[in-house]
Amino acid sequence: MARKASKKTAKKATKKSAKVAKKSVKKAPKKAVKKASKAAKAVKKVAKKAVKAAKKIVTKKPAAKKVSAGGGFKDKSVKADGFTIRYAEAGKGAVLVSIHGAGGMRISPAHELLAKTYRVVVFEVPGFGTSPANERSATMPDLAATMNKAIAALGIKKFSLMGNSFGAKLVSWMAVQAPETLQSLLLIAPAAIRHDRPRVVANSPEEELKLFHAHPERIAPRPAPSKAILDKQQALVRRLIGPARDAALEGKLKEMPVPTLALFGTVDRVTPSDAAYLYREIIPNCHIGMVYDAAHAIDVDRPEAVSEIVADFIERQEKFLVTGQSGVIYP
Amino acid sequence: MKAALFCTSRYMGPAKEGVWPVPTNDYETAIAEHSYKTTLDQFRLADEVGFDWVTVAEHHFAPFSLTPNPMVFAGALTQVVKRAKIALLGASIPILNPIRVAEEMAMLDTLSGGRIIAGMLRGTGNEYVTYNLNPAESRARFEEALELIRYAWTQRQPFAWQGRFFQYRSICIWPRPVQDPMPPIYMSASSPESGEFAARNKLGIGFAFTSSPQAAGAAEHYRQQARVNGWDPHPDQIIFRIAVHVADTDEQAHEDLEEAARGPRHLGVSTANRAVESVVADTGYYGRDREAQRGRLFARGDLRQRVAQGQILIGSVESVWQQIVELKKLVGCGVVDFTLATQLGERTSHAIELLGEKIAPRMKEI
Repeated sequence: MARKASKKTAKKATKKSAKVAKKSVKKAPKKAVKKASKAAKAVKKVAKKAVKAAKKIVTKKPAAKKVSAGGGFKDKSVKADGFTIRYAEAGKGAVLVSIHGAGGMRISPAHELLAKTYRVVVFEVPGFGTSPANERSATMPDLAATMNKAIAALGIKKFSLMGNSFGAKLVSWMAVQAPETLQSLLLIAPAAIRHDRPRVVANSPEEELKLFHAHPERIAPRPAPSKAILDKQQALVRRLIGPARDAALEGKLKEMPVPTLALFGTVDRVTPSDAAYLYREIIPNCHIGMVYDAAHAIDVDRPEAVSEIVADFIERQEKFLVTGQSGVIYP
Repeated sequence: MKAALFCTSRYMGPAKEGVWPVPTNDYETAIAEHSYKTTLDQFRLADEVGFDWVTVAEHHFAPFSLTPNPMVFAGALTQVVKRAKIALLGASIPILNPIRVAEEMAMLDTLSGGRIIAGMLRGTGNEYVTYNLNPAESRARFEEALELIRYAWTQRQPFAWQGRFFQYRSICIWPRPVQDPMPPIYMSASSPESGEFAARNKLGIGFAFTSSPQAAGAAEHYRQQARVNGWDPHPDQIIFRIAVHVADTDEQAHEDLEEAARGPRHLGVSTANRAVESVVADTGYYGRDREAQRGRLFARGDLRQRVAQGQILIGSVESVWQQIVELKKLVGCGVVDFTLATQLGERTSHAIELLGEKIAPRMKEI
């Protein structure tokens, strides 16, 4: 029965991938005339890869008893700094490490899109989800050191690092501790540098959905974590997050050379875009971006918009400021 | 109340009627130059005799209006109109580059010493033919363009924009608006959707080419929606644009208007080509009260009916004043945007004087 179900899932995935591949192939000739030949070749390559991946899924037997984190991500764990740390991984290529926000680990549609181009590694911070309560990490720098060790334990030497909200503060600490390991730093709806004002709080699941999403009606419902998990996570966040303006972190960020992109949702009420300028003023090599019609869960609200600018920044860094795409409609 | 003078900078010579775009076979540069000069003179006079605002608009490909880029005309106005506010009603932002709009309006606000009123419109349906954009996306483009313009006016650090329709990697405009944080923004609110959007975003609204009962309903919907969103619009946040002619007597005013009607008509651009309008209507451009919106564009009647419907103000100073009082009572508008028959030479100038000197001061009192 389970096997039948997995087969069905695999078939479905194949169909989806084939559809994506077909779409890309269909698009490719149009793009070939539209864009510079280099870009067109890249598109074709992606399309070919997708076809290949689709074929692979057909031929490969579904792995037995493997729990998936969703969207083709596979659940794994690594031992580092005395913790067993869960992570989910998908894709191939340059590494993009992602750290979640205060709500816990989630594979977002943006992760799935990015996994088409990158090896995306999404960590669950110790103390979140079903992991034991984390009472050992005394400070954010402590926790950052643990996470850097976990990445090193996977044998990853150079990578791009992305953090959402609370996770953006954590990755900021990770970046100042080991800037030499980073290709780029991506701060998504970041809570690293905030205006000191009362936090907007949701008092019900409905309110929370509205607080986190510009269009909650478009979001597929997902089971809420148990109260015990939420309480455990909240206690850890409250203990570690530190002040809105964290002089110790900001002092170090002023010296941090890693190319950084900070993204804000235009309707985010949790980490509003009116703090965006602070990132640009404090971090020497920082670009800020507004994601239109997105609330705090930017990567869920506008996954295509987020993954496109993130990928462009990882690939081209400073050069992303001007498009490399041709404007020619017909030659 | 405030008095505004609207002028489309109509081409003052003959041209083909009943089509859009209008071929330029009969176009004469000297007439176009004269038309601009006349408009500038009329706006200068309006400023001198006490109008609160002068207003310009964007329309394309027709002698109905020679201001396809109202910003350029407003640039000239900053040097001619010394006191009144200069209202751009407006820029058709979904078909334009929003960053350029933000820059141009900031330039105008600086050149005028902070006298710009920023009308942000979707444009009439045919505007989508002009730059070949899908009218079905006009509302979504409008909403995003407006948000982007507001960000461009308020952000101090260069920022990227990841929109649905607009994408930029680095925006940081110079100059910046003089008015802090930005010029007052108005939008059209004839449809319920637009009224609701304006109410949610605390924007002013305007009505044009409609009737006073229809505008009254739409204005009430806007006020009610504003209350839902926790605020009450000031009457000055509702503009009603209306055709007007005022003369020394009622008889003279009617005679003048009949004479004006005998000249080139140069229909409004939406009404000149029913085929184009109908294609646009089919894309869902008008929103949920589509038939009512289309109906108002093609509403016709004799002069008496048009006066009764609040589509034209005509007569002596006293008659026009009474009609304005009625309009205010019905629609609750705080700004009347007067559209004159501009081709009557001295009589147009006299109408501007009567409106500015005799009527505008009384409007301030109500």
